[in-house]
Amino acid sequence: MKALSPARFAATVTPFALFFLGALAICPLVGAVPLDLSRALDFSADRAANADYQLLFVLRLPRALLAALTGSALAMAGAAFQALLRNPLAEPYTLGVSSGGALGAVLAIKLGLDITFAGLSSVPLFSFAGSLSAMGVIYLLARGRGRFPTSVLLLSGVTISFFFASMILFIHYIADFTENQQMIRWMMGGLDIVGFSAVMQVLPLWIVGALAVLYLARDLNVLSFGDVYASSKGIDVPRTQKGTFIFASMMTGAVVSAAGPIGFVGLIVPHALRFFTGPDLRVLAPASALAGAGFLILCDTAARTILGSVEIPVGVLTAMLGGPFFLFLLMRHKRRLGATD
Amino acid sequence: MARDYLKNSTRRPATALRAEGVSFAYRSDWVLRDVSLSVGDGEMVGLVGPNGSGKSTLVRLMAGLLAPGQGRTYLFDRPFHDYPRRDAARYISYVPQDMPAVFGFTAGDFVIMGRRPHQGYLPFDTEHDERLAVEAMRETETDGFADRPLTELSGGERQRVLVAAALAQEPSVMLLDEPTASLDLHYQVQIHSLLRRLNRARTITTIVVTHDLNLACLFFPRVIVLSEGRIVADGPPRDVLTPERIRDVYKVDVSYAHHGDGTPMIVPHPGAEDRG
Repeated sequence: MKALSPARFAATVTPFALFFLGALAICPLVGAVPLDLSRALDFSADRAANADYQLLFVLRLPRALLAALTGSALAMAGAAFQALLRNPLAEPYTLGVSSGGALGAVLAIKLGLDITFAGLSSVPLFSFAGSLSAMGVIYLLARGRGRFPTSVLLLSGVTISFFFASMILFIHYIADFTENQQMIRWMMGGLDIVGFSAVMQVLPLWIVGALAVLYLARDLNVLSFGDVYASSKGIDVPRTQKGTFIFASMMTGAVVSAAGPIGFVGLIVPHALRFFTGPDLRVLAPASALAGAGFLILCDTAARTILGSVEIPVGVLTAMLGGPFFLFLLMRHKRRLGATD
Repeated sequence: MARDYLKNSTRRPATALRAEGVSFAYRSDWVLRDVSLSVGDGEMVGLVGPNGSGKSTLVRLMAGLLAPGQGRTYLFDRPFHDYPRRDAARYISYVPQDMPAVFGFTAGDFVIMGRRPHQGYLPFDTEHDERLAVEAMRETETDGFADRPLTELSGGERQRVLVAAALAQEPSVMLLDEPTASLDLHYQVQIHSLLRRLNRARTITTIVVTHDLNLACLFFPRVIVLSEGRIVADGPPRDVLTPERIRDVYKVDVSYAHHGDGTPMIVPHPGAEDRG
């Protein structure tokens, strides 16, 4: 019997918190350009002229924080979608959010728009608007009278994804070489930001989304045993399903607009963590968030250092590092996945 | 408010469950037609009938998990639609025939989830929750595999885990849909004895769907026979499960014997040419 007491919760989550904090503390010190930490922390000097201060506080730390928000949002949304859809292959992008975000971004690049709104430039702005539109359309398609069937949700989400993907291909086709280059670069995902503004733009939706997923975690646990069963245990099934879809999608849309559709984190981090924490989403969601944050900080650090001063798109690296690691875990823990032979 | 609905009322209503003129259809096929039924607080009722007679649907309606197409269902004299789902779940627990085993949850994880309607906003289980879950697993003899994943349990073990989760829910009313369908003789008797004991000791109103007419005779003071979506008989088993009615409803000839205490024993009686 494993009742989840606050003490057991803390004991399970703490190692992942340490992993995240370690990555956040150490990775900004690493890079192609050497950093003098004592000079960076010397606040008496003129900050604008202090190259070490600029390197740490304007480039590397904001970047690490955006990586943390992105990695944790994708991992949490992945864990939530896997529970909501009762499908281990679900990830934050399964329900079309990223294709909406990508269509928005690609459209903004093609039209060469130069709009800013609430501190967002046109590409993230259009990307977030695209994510929200995809979410809205899918929500309206899936909504029934007093019901929110996840089978319809899944099918309409996947179909909208394909539809948007074909529109993206069309825009690629009519775009010129420079625009295409820009689009492809955006699709690969990247965390190269300057200053904290992108972090501050993502943060509010991240907080709301994370709290919602934690709050819904217990009900999603019961919901994995079917709508009727969950209802018999007092769970408002349509409300839980809608809430999970909306909040996880919004959080995903926010990070996609800032960092592009970084792949694989949302699929493999929750799975990898399940080997350590078990399936209980009350532990799995926060542990995935911390591990996802640390993982993406590490990947991004590798992405900007492995080839010296040339950066690899972080989305390329997450799959290259995460894939083999996950296969290794899979081989070691086959039995716990339910392969009984 | 509804949380204390029973505690605050000066007298606990004498009727636990009531259906008034209830009809129900999946798409256009009527599964239940104009069923009226009242189950008193503390009663133990067996619900029998052929496959497709509407037993499972009736149980889900009485549990408030389906809304009737026509008519009304009540829990403790209050219409189900006046209860927020969670408040209803504090009084009534439902045991389905089986559950999908997903994502490596263990039997213990599953049983403690039965505490959900009594838990608050924080994502933790209290010591009280754990105590009740442990007790429920001991009573259903499932404590031996509390830490085994549901995927590794047999159908019979899963059924007992479902009953344990329902007990951990601390219900006033329990509705069970064929809880012993995949159990061997030992556990058939054990689960029914447990239900009868709880029914008496804690006044848990209990409705059990069963196909076993002999268990129905042994354990239920009241048996309801459902056929083609209607109640065709309702009363003590020896008045209700007569050879004539069984032939009418099941299209099977039966012989009839009696235990020493007079409880009926029902044995199917196929034509001689078909026997083993």
